[in-house]
Amino acid sequence: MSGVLIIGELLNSSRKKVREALERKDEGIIRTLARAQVEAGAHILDLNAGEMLEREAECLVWLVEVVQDELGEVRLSIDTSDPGAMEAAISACKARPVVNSVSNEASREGILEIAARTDAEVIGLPLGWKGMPRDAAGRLEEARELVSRCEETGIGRNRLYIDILCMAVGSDQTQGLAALEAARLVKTELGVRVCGAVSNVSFGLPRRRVLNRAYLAMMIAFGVDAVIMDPTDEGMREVLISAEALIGQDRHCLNYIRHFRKKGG
Amino acid sequence: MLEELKSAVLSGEDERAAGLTKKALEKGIEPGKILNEALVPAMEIVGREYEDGERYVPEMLISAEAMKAAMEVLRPKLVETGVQLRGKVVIGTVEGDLHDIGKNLVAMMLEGAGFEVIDLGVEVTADRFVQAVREHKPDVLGMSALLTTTMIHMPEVIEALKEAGLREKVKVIVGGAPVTQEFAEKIGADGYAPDAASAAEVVKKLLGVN
Repeated sequence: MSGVLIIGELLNSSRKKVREALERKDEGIIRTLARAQVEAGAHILDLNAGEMLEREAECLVWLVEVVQDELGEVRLSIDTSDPGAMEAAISACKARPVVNSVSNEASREGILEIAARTDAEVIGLPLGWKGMPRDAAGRLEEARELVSRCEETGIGRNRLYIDILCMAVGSDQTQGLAALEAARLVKTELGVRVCGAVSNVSFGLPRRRVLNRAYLAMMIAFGVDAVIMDPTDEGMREVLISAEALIGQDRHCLNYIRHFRKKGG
Repeated sequence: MLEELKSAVLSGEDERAAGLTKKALEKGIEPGKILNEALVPAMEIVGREYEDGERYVPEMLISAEAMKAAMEVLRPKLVETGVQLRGKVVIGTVEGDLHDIGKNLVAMMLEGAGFEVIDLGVEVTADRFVQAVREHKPDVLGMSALLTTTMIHMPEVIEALKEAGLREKVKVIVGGAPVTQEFAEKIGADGYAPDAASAAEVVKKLLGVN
């Protein structure tokens, strides 16, 4: 098991396979994807039914129920901006859920209130107070505002993950480093954990998996605590285990050894 | 000369593209000819290569920058000689949505296809879209949304256009990751494009130009 929290991203309605499963209420596909991610090392499964539009709340609750029926008490991250859907899905969770996500946008106030009423962990996007931050300092400024808003509503720092807003380097090459530096800044300045979604970074570029893996190693080096990714990508797992060994987060490199002993190479 | 300009745009050399445009004008080549025989075909190639997966986002962006640099030199001359652009497009990302990569790519491809583009930026409310249509009288209004939570503003904008009596005066196109052909039809848009390159094609088809 790795020290970094892995949030599996595959149960997302923006993926065609999942959308079709939601439309047909096809439990098999959902069960397979849920189990595969947990077996590959995911600690938390992200659930998104946003593409179902007016049926979002109903589909999200159905996802929660199917995944729990398959895996029992598994931690789930409820990925919606609709307060009604959030409330319904959170109530259906057996294990401590993650609210994904709150931000400084006025439209997310409802989600913030729901999160405050539960014991859920919360992912916070550092944006929407002054706009979309373009550099590390901007992310820190938005994060500071968000942390204080969360504390005012009763969400302590220990329940919060600030998302570092990984963006496509293909369109702006400063974004890769900006998000990484933000991770370090937010952790040291605000004393709050950080998370990031790896695959955004490679949008519009060839061999996205290669870039994602390189970026994952850097995220680990910059202290990112939770990563939203495809845990079934074996290359990603190898990078994760290697990166942790390299920065002294794998005592005696035992986790690395255990993973690779039989494989050689 | 025009072939050289075309290749400068294709390889994304902005200074060279601007310099060659200036030289072409000095040599007495008509501004309309420079636009239609170098810049537009170059961007058509860029769009095709992007669609075929041979060209990637950064390569598309630098070509668009080169095209822009050439257009800055060319635009005053085009106006002087009264060359008509192919049409006018107002474009923006909808309310609550801060994503601009896709919208910017579409704007660049449209400019590259010889359209005048007025970019309203991100987080554009229905009121601002309506106001821009009233003010600029565009042929096409383009809306982008990257989130399932913001694409719901698209039908609101179409409704607001109807209320303002402007719906019949402008074609509406929509795009962005969560948007589908089905969604576009459901909300009564005139066109949908899955990516930036095909957006230019959709606009051309809607306006009957090629």
